Amino acid sequence: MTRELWMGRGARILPPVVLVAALVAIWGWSAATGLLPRWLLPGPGAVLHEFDVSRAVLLKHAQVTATEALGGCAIGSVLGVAAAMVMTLVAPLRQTLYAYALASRALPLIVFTPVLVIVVGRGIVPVMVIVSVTTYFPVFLGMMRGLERSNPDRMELLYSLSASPTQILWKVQLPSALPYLFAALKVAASTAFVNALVTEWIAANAGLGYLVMVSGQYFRLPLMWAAIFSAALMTLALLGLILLAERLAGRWTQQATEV
Amino acid sequence: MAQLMHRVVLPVTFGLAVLVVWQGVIEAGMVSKLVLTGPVQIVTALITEAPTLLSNGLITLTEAVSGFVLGSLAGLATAALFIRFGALQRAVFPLTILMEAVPVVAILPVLMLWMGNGMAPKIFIAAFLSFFPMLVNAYRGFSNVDADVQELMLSYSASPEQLFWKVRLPAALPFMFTALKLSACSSIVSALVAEWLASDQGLGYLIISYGQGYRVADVWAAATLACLLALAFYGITAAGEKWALSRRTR
Repeated sequence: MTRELWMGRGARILPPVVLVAALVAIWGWSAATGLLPRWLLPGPGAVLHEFDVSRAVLLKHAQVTATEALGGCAIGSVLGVAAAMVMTLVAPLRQTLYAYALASRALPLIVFTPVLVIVVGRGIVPVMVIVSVTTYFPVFLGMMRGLERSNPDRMELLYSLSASPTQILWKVQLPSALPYLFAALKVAASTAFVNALVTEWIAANAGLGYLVMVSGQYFRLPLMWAAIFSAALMTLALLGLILLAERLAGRWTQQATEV
Repeated sequence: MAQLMHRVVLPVTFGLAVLVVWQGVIEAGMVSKLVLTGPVQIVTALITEAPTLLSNGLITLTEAVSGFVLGSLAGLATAALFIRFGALQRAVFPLTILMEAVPVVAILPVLMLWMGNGMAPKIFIAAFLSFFPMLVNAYRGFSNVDADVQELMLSYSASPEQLFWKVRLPAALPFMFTALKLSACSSIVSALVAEWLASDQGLGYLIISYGQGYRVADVWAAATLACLLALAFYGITAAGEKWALSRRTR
């Protein structure tokens, strides 16, 4: 049984791993033979070496970006979940504001960054504000959809047992909304990092996005790629954490619904 | 009637109230005019700066739409290849999901070094960001074929090509439009943001240069136009979806 499981997992994991290894090998070989010009893309050795040499610089900027992305993502998600819960309970509020939240999906809210810079100046604050706003809307909408689609039979049962709307929200709607919430959080996590990096180009003097831009301007390509890979690794780490939380929450809701 | 009241009157009243309070705060001088401006000033700026705004907006729109079309077509073609060659799909598909998670826009400075600061890197990044949603969704749609229909086609000894054109492609249509609606927004955003980095034209460039000149009303006007363009592009895609799906069911 476990052996079969492993075989299944191996069959799934092996092809992409082989492909990545092949790509890195081709990358290293073409860089070593000079087929790939160094000004275009330095070899994997040069980038790894840069991780060692510029460790302090990378760490400093990574810390800034992590603060902006994680902080903004946390603020936006908490506000989004809270707003969805309040609007589920208060119908007039939902009728007034839901249309605006839906429209926000199509809006490039990040273009308001220069407006923010004029109001609060450059630094961590405008970046964090943009990240929280761009996290807030997808999380809010995902949570709303989840709350709306909870099992009507269960809700009716609780209603007939004269449960209050708040009780129904906690006991039925919230557990059933979790899969939607996690789907939204996964999207939010990667957009949080992208938006933090991009906003740093014009609104900050530190962070990995800033480092990528500046090292590009000085043609320090190994540093530039080291910064790009650092940002990618941080995004994947956050996604991993969310997947882990999803699995734990899944176990919890399963217990809750079984009772 | 009550339905109309809830769906239209409440949101519109709220929106107008926000605008009036906003303008009132500005007129009362509660916030410095150097920092924040009112809706009336923004609309005035939209009108007086219209020629500059529109010519730059057109450039951004050209970049976004070209990238959107190229990326979506490439994604669709790749999904079709994945359906035809299963081994390719197994090797590459997990990687494409990984790529979607990685902040690809962060490599824009690299693209600028490769392709200069003209329209090419903006089109490329818009195409890149349109590619993955289409690939993932179209593949899901192609695989979403009813097993009975598939068997029926096979029993009529239909070729894989016929199966693709007659069954898989129509089945994938709703999935494809999901991708298109996503990419409509992201292609505009990525073109705009790419212009921040290195450009001397386009709406993104205009927003930055207005911002550096502290022309508050003009910044707001340019950002508002960007939002209107994105909404229009999204609206056109959604209308296309409605049209295509209504034709399909006939």
